[in-house]
Amino acid sequence: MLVLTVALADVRSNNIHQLKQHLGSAQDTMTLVDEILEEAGFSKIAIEAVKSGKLHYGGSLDAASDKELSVKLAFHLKAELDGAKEIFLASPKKKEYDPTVESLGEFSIIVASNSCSS
Amino acid sequence: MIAEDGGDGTLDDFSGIILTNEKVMEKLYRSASSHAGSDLNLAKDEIAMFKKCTTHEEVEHCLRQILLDRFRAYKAHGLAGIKPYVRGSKEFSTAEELKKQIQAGGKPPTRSAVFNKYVVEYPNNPPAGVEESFFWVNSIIDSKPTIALVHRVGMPHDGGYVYMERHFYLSRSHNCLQGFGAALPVEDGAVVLYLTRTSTDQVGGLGSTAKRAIGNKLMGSRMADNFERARAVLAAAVAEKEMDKLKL
Repeated sequence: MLVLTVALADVRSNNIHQLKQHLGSAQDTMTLVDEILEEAGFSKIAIEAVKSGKLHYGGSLDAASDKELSVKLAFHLKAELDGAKEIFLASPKKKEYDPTVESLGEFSIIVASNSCSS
Repeated sequence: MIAEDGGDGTLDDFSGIILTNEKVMEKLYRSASSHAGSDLNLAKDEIAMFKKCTTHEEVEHCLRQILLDRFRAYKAHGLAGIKPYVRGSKEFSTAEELKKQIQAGGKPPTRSAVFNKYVVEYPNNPPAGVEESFFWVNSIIDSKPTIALVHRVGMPHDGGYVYMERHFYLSRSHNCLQGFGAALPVEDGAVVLYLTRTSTDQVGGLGSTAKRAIGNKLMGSRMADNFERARAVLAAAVAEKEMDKLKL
């Protein structure tokens, strides 16, 4: 029983060591979510929301002029991302979040539901 | 898609553009220069072209020609190729507005200096791996057809992908739109972000701050719905992949 316990402890210890080594090397080369979002102007609260798995959206980037409307969105996926470019370039998925326009009365802008394209 | 072959495009690329609400649009374009409250985005020479039109068909043909000319000028010269819009006795420079949007808030959120430089200098010095496409979108805004010329450009970066979408011409309603996106690997997966800025005269002037706050909220809410759908699609794809691994 004692031998088994020690053996298990050894295995755990080795695994943790290997895990630490793995994480260590990963952290050396991989960027943190915080770093990317902070650089893009997301607030601490927004970053925490993204890290907890929620989609964050907010407006008011540092405006380029008083004629500007702006929005920023982010989400965190806890998995390796295959085909990252498809998120932005592939049709028809792209069409679902294409920030084109539609009437909003005084404030024209936004995501088109009544548009056609080439 | 415009000029799918990577060339200079033809009028046929714009043949699908139809100006509905015919009477209103015909009047709007033909009287563009004398209509004080017109929200059309046209340069001086373009207004002159519309003045010569006598039928709705001619107005549509003229618009397609202008869109082709604007596409070709932008593709050849980038921001410098964008003609300014006439605003009464003044002009509005879309190119300057787009440059300001890039500079505002420091730098675009792509983490790629090469890409950020390229979108300013476009079409000069394209980086390796960059790909682009052009298309038009015809949306009905306030019951009026509104055509956007859109440039999408992206490239792989740091194990992920960076992207820019630029509406470098809008026939009316607002001035321009520019969005930057990135899908980048992080320590425990990936982060996807998108930041977009839209220039419109409709939120300027008196009460600008309040108008912008409301506008930002409306825009954010609608885009969030779409982005959430994208997130759900990706999350489902990941879950499916994990299930496949378990089956093995």
